[in-house]
Amino acid sequence: MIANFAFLSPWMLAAFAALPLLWFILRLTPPRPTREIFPPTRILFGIQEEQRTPRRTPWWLTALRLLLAALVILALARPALQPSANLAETRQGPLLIVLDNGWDSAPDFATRRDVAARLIDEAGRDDRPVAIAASAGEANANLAPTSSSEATRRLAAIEPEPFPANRQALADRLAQLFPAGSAEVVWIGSVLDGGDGGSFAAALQNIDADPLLITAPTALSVLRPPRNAADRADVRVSRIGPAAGITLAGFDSEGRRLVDTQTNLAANTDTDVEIQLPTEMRNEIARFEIVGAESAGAVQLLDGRWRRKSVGLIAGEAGDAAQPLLAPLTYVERALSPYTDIKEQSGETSPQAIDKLLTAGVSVLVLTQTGNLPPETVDKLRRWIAAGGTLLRFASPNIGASDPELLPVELREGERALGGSLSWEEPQAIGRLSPESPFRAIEIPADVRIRRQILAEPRSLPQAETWAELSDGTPLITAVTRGQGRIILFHVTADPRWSNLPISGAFVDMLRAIVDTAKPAVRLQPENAASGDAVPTPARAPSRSSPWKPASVLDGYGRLRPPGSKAALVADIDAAAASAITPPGLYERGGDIRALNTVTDETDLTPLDPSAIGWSGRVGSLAPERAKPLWPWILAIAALLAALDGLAVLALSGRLVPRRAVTAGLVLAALVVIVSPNKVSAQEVSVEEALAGTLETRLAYVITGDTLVDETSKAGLRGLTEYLAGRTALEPGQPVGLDLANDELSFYALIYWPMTAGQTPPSPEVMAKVDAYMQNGGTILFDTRDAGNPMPNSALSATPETQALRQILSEIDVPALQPVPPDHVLTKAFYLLITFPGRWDQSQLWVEAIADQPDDTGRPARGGDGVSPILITGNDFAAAWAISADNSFLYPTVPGDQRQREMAFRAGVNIVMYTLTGNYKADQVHIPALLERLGQ
Amino acid sequence: MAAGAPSHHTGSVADARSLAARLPDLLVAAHRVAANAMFGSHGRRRPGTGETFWQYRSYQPGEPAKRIDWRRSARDHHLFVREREWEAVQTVWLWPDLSPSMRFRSRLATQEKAERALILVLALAELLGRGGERVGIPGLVPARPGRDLPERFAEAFLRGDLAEDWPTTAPIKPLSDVVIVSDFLTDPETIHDRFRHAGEKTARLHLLQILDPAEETFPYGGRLEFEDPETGGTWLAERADLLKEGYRARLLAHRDEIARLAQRAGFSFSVHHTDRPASEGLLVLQSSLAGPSERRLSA
Repeated sequence: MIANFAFLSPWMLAAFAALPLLWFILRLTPPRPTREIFPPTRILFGIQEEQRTPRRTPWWLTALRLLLAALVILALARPALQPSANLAETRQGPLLIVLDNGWDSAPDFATRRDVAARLIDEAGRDDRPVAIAASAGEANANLAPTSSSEATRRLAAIEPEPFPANRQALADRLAQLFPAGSAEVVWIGSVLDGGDGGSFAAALQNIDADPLLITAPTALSVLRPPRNAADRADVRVSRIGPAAGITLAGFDSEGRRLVDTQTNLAANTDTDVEIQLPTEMRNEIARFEIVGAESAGAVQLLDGRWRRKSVGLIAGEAGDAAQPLLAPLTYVERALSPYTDIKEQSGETSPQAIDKLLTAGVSVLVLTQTGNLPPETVDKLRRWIAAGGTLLRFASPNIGASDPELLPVELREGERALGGSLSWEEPQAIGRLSPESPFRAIEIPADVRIRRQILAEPRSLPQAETWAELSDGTPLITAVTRGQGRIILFHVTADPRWSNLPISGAFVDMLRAIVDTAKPAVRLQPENAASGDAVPTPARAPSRSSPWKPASVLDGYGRLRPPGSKAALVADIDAAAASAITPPGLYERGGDIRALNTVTDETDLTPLDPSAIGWSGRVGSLAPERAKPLWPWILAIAALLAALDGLAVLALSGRLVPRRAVTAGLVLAALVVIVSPNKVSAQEVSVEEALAGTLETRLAYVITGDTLVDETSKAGLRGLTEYLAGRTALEPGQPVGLDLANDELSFYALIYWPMTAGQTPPSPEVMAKVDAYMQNGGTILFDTRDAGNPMPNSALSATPETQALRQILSEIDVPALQPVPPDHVLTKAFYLLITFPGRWDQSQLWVEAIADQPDDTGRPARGGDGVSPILITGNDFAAAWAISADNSFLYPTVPGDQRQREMAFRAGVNIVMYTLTGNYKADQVHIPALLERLGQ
Repeated sequence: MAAGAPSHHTGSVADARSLAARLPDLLVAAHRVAANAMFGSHGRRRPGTGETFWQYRSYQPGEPAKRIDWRRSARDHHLFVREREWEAVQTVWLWPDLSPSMRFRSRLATQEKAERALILVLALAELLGRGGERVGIPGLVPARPGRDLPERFAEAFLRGDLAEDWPTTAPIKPLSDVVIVSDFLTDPETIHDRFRHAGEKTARLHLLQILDPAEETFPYGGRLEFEDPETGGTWLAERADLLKEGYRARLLAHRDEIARLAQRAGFSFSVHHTDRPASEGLLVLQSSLAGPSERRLSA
């Protein structure tokens, strides 16, 4: 695109007319001279008259000032480099604009519309017909080329839709309307491919051999359906595009924000956002939304299924806690606990437990081994069911004693045994799961065998629903709707004695389906207030065949609206996906609310990539090419000229002192250098650095910025390096100083970090890096170097170095520490050591605490798992190790003892060996036992 | 130099007040300067009615015999008369020029010319007072001896208005010394008139020209507008550095003219710069006061 030059405020250029006047004034008005009191002025009178120049400004000063004025005027007119004006390439023939308006185009739809409007304007100027087609538009929209004004009107009617674009349908229509080569095509593509990008691209390229695709650089954050966990909600957010921070909020049905959480999304990945919220609050949430995302894809509507149900479990009289595998509740609990709140009342009689649960409010009540119940409990249960409770019962030998009101069907006496030694019949499999029931999505489990069941009276069957049958047609699971609630009976026990259903996967699915279809928790009103509830209004049982009616629908921006005329009734809400006739939103049937969301777990979020869809045409970008402003630069030049002018005036009035001018110039230059952007990319690791760090084992120290300390660290590590090379098999390379902010740490096993007084702790990013280094196996040896100072024992009055260390450690995850115990592997890693002296010998060496293990008592060395990420000393190791270029020691040890120097080196060797070999030495204690076992 | 425009006059009053505020300091400085110099009831370096021995001379016949110094005469065969040095109490009038042109200090100097003039005058007053001379300020303090002269002068300066650059000659008796410390930037004609007037009163003038080093060396450059603090007249210099030679020549010519006039009238004239120690100026004044006067000898 060719940039052209334009003024944003061209009328300011009229001020150029004033320049001649300015010239005149400037020419006549020389710079004001400095006034100097001078008593012998009268002596000056009348001398050297011929030397006085006319009182005029020098011409070059006038020119400089005129240029300055001209530049300011020019800058005020705000010149800018404008992006190229024309989007369309050819200037004749019809122009076909294809505008993606699926949900993924909503966040920046205004920009898309602007681009389309620009295209239409261009076409209007060139007097060419324009056709505009929206890929998620109505199936019968008029796609014929029209005048630009009509096209503008059509464009205004196009809104982003809450469902994905149906490009395939549009491609078919376009292929009929536009033969090959009949129009110039501009496709304003959305963010996502949607699965039909390739075929659509091919269709467009059939119409125009060289079409233009304008793609969006916009990133998209998409909410996937949330999941309920025991103590939190997990909301999965898919990010397309670069990393970003979002605010995720949950709203209740009234639109009040109940919870919000801020999170950072990594580029192009899915992130699970955990929202910690009590169940009661979570159940109130009707909608999750990425705040400010302005897209239907950033909204998840929630319905009753999402609410976390609370399930009450009643063990019944035969509860047997000592043998949990024989307790029926165990299987129910295991099946339900991942999805629901289990409320279990144990240690009490069934009626009491039921009372408590009903008063507290549960959604589903499970009775497993309950037979008869007291009449008042039965009454409460009935009222509770009528108010919306779901009673789930399992067969048991004593179920025949139960009140028939609490059973969906009448039961025959006794049970039916299949496949016993006295029976000809084989154990039965499940034959059919009713498609009318909540179990319709569950596959019939082939491996389930029913060996024993209770039987329903056939005459009572028509009043109930049979949700599952055995292969011979015997009802296995029956249910009946009572008032708002229902009663469900499994004709087998909840333990595997009668069948293996409770230990099959289908059992989990069934229970989950039951809980999902249950109403939210129903709380039984106290007696006095419950008089109305006692005789519940008989709710019209929703007919299974009545369709779901849209109650409110989402628009493309993710806002709930009353349904428009396009929204149709939906027969099967579970099979429906967001589309033009089934827009996402809330659907209602007989008081039951179901949410249909734009984005499901299956939604394909592949970005639209021109190369991946075989695009051979041109590619443009939706990002508006910003007019590149030139005027700041012009203003900068003008400011420079103004400074020059000031210098010139100073020089003319003789006040330009050369020495001061040089100083001022230096200050100015320094400012420019400081201000100029000097960004060093921090995380780039050059190959040379990586090779230098990895080809040889090298000791490393942290550059503190204190020259003396850094020199000591370097000399000390050099001394230790030579000692290591002389005494051990390890021959490290030259020690390296690390700038924590910019250098890669992971190449070094051990980093020596001396503390200096008044050290400012590194920034949180740097500390995060250090923390990661320590978490991932690196060891940092902190040295406060203060053991020689008079050491205040009080924790409140630490030395400045210790305070610096505390400040640093407060930002990283430090494990529990202990002084090196006598049996620690550090004392045996190479030399046998008792203490770890450095230049001083007062301080102890601290390591990560090793948990005492009972079987460790006899072992001479303990290592713990891995290597301690942190070692702390105050003995100033580096000073003890430090050697000069001629291999003489730089610092005396205190107390001055040659042995202490040797011990300091040995301590260093042990520390290096420990960081390099870990707990290897601790394991070596097993060698005698191994040798003995080998029979030596 | 008479005060010029009224605006400058008020300015000079304000300046004088600030000068008055600094008088105690100046007084201390004057004491310090005076402590380094000694003035006594000084001999006239001729025989007279003093107390110190001056010379022996041969007895002239006709002289009273009581003049003969017998102890000296007894040593040989001649009669000697012991002559004492002529000592006399002098009347000295002091006059510091505190006009606006004196209120100038450039970067090269540490003090204003007026301050230096005051220090010199006060220090001289102390010295003379110590020597028993009668010292006064014309029109302000009558001439009388005393040891507290500097303090009296300082009080008088606090009270009086010394914006004039030339003393009134009315109270000056004939044959008295008048010390004038000024920059003498007035035109030579006026000065000539004043000298003649002083000559008529047979006063002996001791002139000390005080100049700022900047006035001497003209260390200016560039485009400058010079302003006369007395008249407010300005002079615009496009390139001040080119003026230097011309200015120097004119300043020297002006000074030579005054020196010539002073010499003709028998007055002493010397130059003192404010970047030099004040004691130098004091010594100059001291020596010119003590020095033999051609005029007196000829008189």
